[in-house]
Amino acid sequence: MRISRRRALAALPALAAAGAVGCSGERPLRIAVVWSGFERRIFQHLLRAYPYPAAVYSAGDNIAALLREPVADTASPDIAMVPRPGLVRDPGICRRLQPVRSSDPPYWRSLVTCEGAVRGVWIKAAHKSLVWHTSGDALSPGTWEAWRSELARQAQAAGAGASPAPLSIGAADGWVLTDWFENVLLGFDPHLGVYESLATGADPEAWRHPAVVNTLRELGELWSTPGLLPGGGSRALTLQFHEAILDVFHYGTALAVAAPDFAWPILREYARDPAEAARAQAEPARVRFRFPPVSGAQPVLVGGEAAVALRADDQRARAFLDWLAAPSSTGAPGTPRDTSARDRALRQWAAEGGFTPVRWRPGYPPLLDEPAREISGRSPSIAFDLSDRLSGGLSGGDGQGLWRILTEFFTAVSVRGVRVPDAVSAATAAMVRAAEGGR
Amino acid sequence: MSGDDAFLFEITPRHDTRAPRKWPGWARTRARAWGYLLPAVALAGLVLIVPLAATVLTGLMSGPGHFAGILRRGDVWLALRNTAGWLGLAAVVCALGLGLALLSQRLRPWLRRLLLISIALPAVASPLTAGIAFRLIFDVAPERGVLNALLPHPVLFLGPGWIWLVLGSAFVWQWTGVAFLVFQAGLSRVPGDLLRVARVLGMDTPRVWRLVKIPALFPTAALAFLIVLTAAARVFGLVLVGAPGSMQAAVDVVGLYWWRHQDELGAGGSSALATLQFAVAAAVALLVLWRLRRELPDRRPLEAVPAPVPASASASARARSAAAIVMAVLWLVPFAILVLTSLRSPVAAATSGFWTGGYGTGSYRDAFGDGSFAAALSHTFRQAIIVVTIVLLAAVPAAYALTHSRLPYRSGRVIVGVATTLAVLPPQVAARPLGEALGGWVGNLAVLGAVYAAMVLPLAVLILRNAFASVPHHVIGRVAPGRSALPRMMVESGPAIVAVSVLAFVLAWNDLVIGLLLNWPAADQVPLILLQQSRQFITSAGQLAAQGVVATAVPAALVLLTGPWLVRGLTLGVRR
Repeated sequence: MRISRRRALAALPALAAAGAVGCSGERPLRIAVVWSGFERRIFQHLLRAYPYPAAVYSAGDNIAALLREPVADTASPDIAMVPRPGLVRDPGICRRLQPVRSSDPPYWRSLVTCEGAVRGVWIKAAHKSLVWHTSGDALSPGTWEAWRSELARQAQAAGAGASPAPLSIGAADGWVLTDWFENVLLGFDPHLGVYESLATGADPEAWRHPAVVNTLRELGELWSTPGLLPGGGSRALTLQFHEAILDVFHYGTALAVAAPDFAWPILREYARDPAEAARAQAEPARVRFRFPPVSGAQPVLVGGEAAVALRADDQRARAFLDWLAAPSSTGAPGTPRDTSARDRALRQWAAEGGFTPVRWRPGYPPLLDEPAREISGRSPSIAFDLSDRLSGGLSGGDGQGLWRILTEFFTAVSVRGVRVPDAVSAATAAMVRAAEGGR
Repeated sequence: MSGDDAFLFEITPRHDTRAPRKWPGWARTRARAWGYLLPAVALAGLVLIVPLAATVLTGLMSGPGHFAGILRRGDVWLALRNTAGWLGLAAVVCALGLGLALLSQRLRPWLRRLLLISIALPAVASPLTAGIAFRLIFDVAPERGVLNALLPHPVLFLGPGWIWLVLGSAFVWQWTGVAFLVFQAGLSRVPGDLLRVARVLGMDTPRVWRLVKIPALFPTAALAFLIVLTAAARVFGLVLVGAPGSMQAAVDVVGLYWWRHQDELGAGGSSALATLQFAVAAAVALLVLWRLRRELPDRRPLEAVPAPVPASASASARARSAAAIVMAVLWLVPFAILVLTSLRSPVAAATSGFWTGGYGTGSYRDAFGDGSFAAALSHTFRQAIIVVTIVLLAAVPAAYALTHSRLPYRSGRVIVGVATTLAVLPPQVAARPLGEALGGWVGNLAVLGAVYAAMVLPLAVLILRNAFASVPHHVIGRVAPGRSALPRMMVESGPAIVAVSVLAFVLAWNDLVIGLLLNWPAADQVPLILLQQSRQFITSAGQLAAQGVVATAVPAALVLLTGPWLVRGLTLGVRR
């Protein structure tokens, strides 16, 4: 009696949050997501295809605390979307997560495998090795070397006031800078030897490896180029990811922005010239090229969110994950095995862009078809975002870990005019310190 | 314990040589007095004192190493320095409040009322809303930011250095009204006799200030200081939403640092840091209280209504009116920007300034689009009502027991001292043990309501106690012997009860910290939704502004409706 009353009371806020008080009396499945805005809306569209009620909580960047700490029963979700597989493999967290059935590609499965079982189903992936631009038919510069000299030339022209700045960087968001770092690092370490040892955190001294040092030097030299960014480095530090896209596609104050595939919906919505955006959709090269590789066969940087089930013996959570993960099938209509509504929703996202699954499916618009194919590749042709795999002192969001170290590095070279070699050694020292757990 | 202007004057642990007042007939036994205190003591004990003790013990038991470890971290020192900076800003806010109170003394009544409303209204907005409004005003892009559009060269207001201007002005905007309100009440009660004597003695203005006005203003100033200092020590949501991610490390404050790093610090380290945070807040409170031990020279009951100096038509009077109007308008600008932005389409709000058009209701449509914001409004409202109910149920009898019952004099003093210390308790200090102890219960409306209620309780008891103490003796004398005077006291102290209710409502309505610490990630509280929405600020600007407007409208309406009662309740306590 007491339990049931407690349960009933506990369910009230959740029902209110869902805005979906069903007649069944059963509380909706609670799903904590990291998205807000557009991505969250899209995910809610997908949930409508699920035959049972589900409520979405936004947990933001702070998902670590949610997984680690037992939070309020009423607030505790059944499912969480985890953008940091590093967390899943944290021993304290791994044990809380339920083993799941997954048909994801092997590399993706391995990212969320711990203690012998797969613990997550990948819901969304992101292609993070892309550069979006307004140069029209201009071809990709081909290599990092070529791109850098092209950027230097454009920066000189921009410095003379003749043209827009070559780049915009949303340096207010730390992950934008870590994506830059990782894209270049992958070029210096195409076989992922150093990358993997950094990701597992076994050896803090790995942060002094020449691949890391070279990466920072390249970035430092690029970021300290006068005229590179509209308004300079100090303005870039106040710009968020979306604003950098506006710089290029709305205000036209910059020519290009390095941004993942989910830049597309923002670009489309805010493009000054909608016709141009529409043309770009048919002809991707007009707005986008691969992040120019430092070395020939450089892996694609990918990110994503995996859904994990947080409670033992939670049949509903498992049913939901099965429904998400199941290959297209023909279950009886209205049952969780019926994936036709899900597939319709997935096709709709594919058309809208910005929400790419880990498995390529036919029917993508040309703009996203190639990134989707590349994402579904296998290691070493893809490498998952390093900063999201780190744990301990290098993990975390704003003001923490690698985000903070790279923000300080960016500030040093682009605002304070610190010599690049000095900034590089300061940054690597900070990385080693953070990896060792101190500060 | 006579009627006094500032309740803090009463709660000062000073040496009172008079015999404690006896009220024969009511609350016959000590047991009954303790009975009145029981709900408040239980609530404060369970939600504040026990978790506080647990935190301090965890910090201490795990050895001094944790404190040393915390203090070895450079970024902790940065956060401490920044917190000290905020405390310093509190002095500026108080000075500004005093200046405005002096200005308003000689204004026409309608102008005084306009100034009061526009300056005090920001205090009911959530710090998140303040952060949103000021980030819009100080937007770096000259295409969008109204200040940058007016300047010949764009200024990076959200960048290094300048960010303090953005955050600091938002804080000044929010809290000057409270200081203004308190000083206005204080100034109206500078003893007239002394001023007349001073004038007869031919004192010049500086000497009148030094010898009469400043001493008389001391309790008032201390009250204003304590309120603003507590707000400064608790700055959280404003920094979180007002500064871009790259600036977060540079503008970190202790409470925010604790929240961000508690995971990494572990139980011992985070308890040590929380203890440190509490020590800072308590030290500030005690410092203020210590300075308060001075007494007013004149202790007669003071006039309730400020005696306005007749407005003259001189040039200086016109200048004063003009200054008042400028201040009032200036203080309304952030609200105006917020409302204008909310009335623009999301795309227009993200890409251009309000002067370029693009008006429509799209941002409100987005704000209420998926139903979660409407659900959160209703949930937060219910939550706030529950908090008000619990606060009144616990605080009214407690305040009664502290004023008009046979509580041992010393016990009463101790309780009041404890209440003052608890009033400045940062929620972070109690959060971790509370979350662990309450476990699955905490998201429940009533349980979370009790946590909020306990946080407001100390201040509520202090305000009500002062009001009860101010009820004239002859009014209570009419109550038949042997019956409780409580109902009569409640009627007489109506304004204070209204004030406490409004205070509790606004605190529960605007709270981000407790929700984030205990109820996260349930998206059923308005500030939590605002925080989530602000992750990509500019492309959410329209929607954020719309939600900020709606979230502010509720407490603002409440305050405007209860206005006259509220002012009297906070400064005087009783009806006249």
